[in-house]
Amino acid sequence: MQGEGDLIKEMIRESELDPAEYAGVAEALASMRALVPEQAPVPSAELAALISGGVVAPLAPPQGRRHRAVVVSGVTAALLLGGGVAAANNKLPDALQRFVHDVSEKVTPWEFPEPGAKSDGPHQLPEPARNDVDQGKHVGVGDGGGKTGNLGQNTEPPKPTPPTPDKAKPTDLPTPPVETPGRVEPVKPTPTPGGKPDGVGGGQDKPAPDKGSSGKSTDAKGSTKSKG
Amino acid sequence: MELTESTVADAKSGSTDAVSLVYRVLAPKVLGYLRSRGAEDPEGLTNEVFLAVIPRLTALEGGVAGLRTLVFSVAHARYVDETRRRTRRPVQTAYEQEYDERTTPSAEATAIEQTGSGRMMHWLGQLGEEQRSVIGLRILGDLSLEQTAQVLGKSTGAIKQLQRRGLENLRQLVERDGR
Repeated sequence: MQGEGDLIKEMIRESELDPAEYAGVAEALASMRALVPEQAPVPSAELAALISGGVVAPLAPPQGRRHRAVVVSGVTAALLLGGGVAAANNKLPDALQRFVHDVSEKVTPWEFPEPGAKSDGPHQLPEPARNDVDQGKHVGVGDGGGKTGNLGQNTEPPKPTPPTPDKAKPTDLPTPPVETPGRVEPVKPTPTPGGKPDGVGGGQDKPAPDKGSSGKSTDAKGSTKSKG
Repeated sequence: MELTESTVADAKSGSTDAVSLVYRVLAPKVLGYLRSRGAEDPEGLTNEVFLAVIPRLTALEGGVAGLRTLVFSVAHARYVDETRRRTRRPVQTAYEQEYDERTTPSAEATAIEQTGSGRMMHWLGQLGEEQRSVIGLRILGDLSLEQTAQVLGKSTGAIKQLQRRGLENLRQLVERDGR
């Protein structure tokens, strides 16, 4: 290696420039050497290990954020699903089950069982309530207007309509929820076989099936009313 | 402290003493070159340069000259990478009082600025990018015209022209500002 003065003179010579005219430039270039420290910078731990012949473990390839997000999402979904199934089957601890029950009752359209409730099998959500108004219309038309109060004009005795099996089965009725204070459950009219229609909203009730007496009893009722 | 052909040969064969000597001799020059280019973290970049160079020593060809060419090729490439990175995203730096222009420089800082490399850095900053590279590699890296041409991927004639224009521009700046 040549001295700094020699190198700078050589550069000026190589460039076919007059060294006398570039004395100031040579001085400025020499001042650049002040940027070079006397000591080498302290090597990092990794570099020090490399210099001393140590084995440098390769860095683990960085896991992408997307990969992490997918894993976290999968675990969360699995936990939620498992928790939901356990809550629906009333398999959670009492305190947790009560919490799930309360929250689901207030926030969601589903209802989870309360702790302590019987859990023989998977909990069945109640069926939606029947549209009684539609049923009443349908029954009224089928009655031929016999429940409108104009019984005297009826020439034909109303045919007793046998109750539809799915409407008459008491076992198909939704289980009335336990009444809690501050919560009023709407009372639904229950069709009573053989019950007397109230006459005002008679269209909503079905006529009592009376296979044994056919139209006679109706006639007798109608005649009594018309006489009175 | 100088590098000899035997030292480079020892470093090539894996001698830790020789590798350590290579680092102690060349790292200050690399650091000086990166400082002259205005690198954001010249010390960290110097580390990166030798992390890349040392594993390649076993395949080194050309002795001391080849080693200098290799080291400054990597250093220049790292500087270029850092410059591109900086242009893509803004740099956030911690507050350092000495770089706060709202303060009056100390007497020591003023002395360094007037006598040392401060003015030269200012003049270098007004040269073209390639002219700065050539002058920095030649003065601080002790590279020949041919070695500089290899580092920058240009012909020796092109480097000679860049060097000449750089020196002419420097002369104008020195005469304008006074020495």
